[in-house]
Amino acid sequence: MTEPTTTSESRAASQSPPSPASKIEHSTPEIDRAIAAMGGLGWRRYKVQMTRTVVIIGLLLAWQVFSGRPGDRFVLVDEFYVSEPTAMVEAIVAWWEQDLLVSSILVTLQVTLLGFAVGALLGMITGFLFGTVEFLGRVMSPIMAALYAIPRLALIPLFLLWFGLGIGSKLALVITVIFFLVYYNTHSGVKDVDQELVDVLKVMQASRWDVLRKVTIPSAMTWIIAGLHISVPYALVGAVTGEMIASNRGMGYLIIRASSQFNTAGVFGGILVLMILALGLAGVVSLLERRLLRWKVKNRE
Amino acid sequence: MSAPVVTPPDSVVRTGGAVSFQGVSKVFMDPAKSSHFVAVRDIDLEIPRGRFVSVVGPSGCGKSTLLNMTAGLFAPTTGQVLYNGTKVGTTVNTEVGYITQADNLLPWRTLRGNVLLALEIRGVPKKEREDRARDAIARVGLTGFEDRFPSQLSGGMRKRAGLARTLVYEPETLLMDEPFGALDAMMRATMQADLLHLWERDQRTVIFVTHDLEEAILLADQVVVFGTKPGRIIHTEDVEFERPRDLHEIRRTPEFTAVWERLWRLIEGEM
Ligand SMILES: Nc1ncnc2c1ncn2[C@@H]1O[C@H](COP(=O)(O)OP(=O)(O)OP(=O)(O)O)[C@@H](O)[C@H]1O
Ligand SMILES: [Mg+2]
Repeated sequence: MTEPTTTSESRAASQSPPSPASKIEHSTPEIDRAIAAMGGLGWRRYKVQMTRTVVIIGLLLAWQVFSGRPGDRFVLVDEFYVSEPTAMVEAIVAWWEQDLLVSSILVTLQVTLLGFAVGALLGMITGFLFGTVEFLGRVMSPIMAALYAIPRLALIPLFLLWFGLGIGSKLALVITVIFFLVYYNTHSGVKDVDQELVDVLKVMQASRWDVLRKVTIPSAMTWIIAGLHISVPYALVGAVTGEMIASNRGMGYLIIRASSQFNTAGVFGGILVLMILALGLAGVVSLLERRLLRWKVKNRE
Repeated sequence: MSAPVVTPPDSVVRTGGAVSFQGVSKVFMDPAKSSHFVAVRDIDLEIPRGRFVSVVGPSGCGKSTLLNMTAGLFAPTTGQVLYNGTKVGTTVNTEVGYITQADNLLPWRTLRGNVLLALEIRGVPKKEREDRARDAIARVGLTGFEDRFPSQLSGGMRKRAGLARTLVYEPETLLMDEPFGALDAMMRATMQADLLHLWERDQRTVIFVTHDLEEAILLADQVVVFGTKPGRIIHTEDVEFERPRDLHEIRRTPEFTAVWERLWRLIEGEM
């Protein structure tokens, strides 16, 4: 402590310099071999991925074989009810050729992302406000619970009345869905903050703002990210639901149109596109998580 | 401190704060039985500026409670805690540096980030901040671990990180709750010597809670012995060894052994 150079760590470091052959400090040949053999770990992951691929291909093949025109060989399910994977892809390609696919995806994505962003932001702000200002939280929490209890789908007629058939009513739906999910998670996150950490900061002369910025927000971040994870698919659900009920654009509209034309393959194709979109959005949140919760991810390494 | 310490000029000649406990008691709720219980009572203790006081006593006798009240984290149930003549408890005491029993590092900040914390709050310029943090980390022997998160440090390293985090902003009074508990004997001896060195230089006030009676006697001007059920002061012992102290030498003197024996009996009687 008095002389930084004689601490136990640095002493140990100066006694056993890393062997030049190894990339790892203080390593032994045995450790190097063990690390090299971590390929074993890679192999396990490889095995999982391989098996998974085989399972997926198997399922798709079975699906392809067992659904089709009634009476054909192996066919168990009428393609009128469950269309084959190839038909799904054909339906999607058809939309592509009619210049409908990309524009519909963009319309749906726009509502999803915009609604998600606005809803999440409002949810976070409200969550922090009601979570940190005790008085406000007490006053508002039963009111929030009552509002949350309203089935949001029942609001669609009102939204149509207020915001029209365009993007406004769909945005309103998505925002009301996302807002509450993120609000509740943020609120719980703020309540979950370790009081001892707050005390430590207060003794250091921290202002309320310091405490919020340096403890409350980073601590609640785990919960907020969890909230975002849960709510991303709901944003898509909200957008598509809105489009199905009243719209002439977007993936929801494409699906409804296909269904009204008894185009089962189109319905399945639309669902496939939505699934891919949902996976993509979840991936984006995961990236965000890995950045913001770096300290957590590192724990497990 | 032989390392080139970057310190503000006013920190070298600084007298610590005076702490005064007057008829202090603290009652907590027992959530299990939904009843009250007395954690500590009848605490009367004057700690003048610049004094090093150790607090020893069995587990649960209210040592941490005493420090929490000194830091103003909660008010005593009766009596008052004065810091430099001002009552604390309704407001937090920001003149003290508090090294809590749990390390309480911010898990989302690296070691460096944790040490920088108080300096950021106090608005120390960036360059100076970085220099002082680097120096504080070196002082506790953690150079090279700056970018690790608390979860990637060992228990003893976290303890030292907690020390660095508080020492870095040089508060006038140090509240230390078993700061050397998780350290190995060598590291502990080094840190004890260094703490004494620091204290002899700056004459801060230190309230030092420990389970280790030997450590309590070696470091302090005064050892306060707590008893339990209810938590209270059963004895205060002035320790007269000359300063600066050679801890290794003192340990082997008959005077030290005599004090140790006497206090040990007292604590034993309380268990
Ligand atoms: N915030 C609290 N709420 C309720 N009871 C508490 C609280 N803090 C401490 N206590 C109780 O007060 C008593 C004294 O606790 P304290 O932490 O001060 O003991 P201690 O002397 O520091 O013990 P140790 O040496 O084990 O750290 C204990 O019985 C404890 O359970
Ligand atoms: Mg304690």
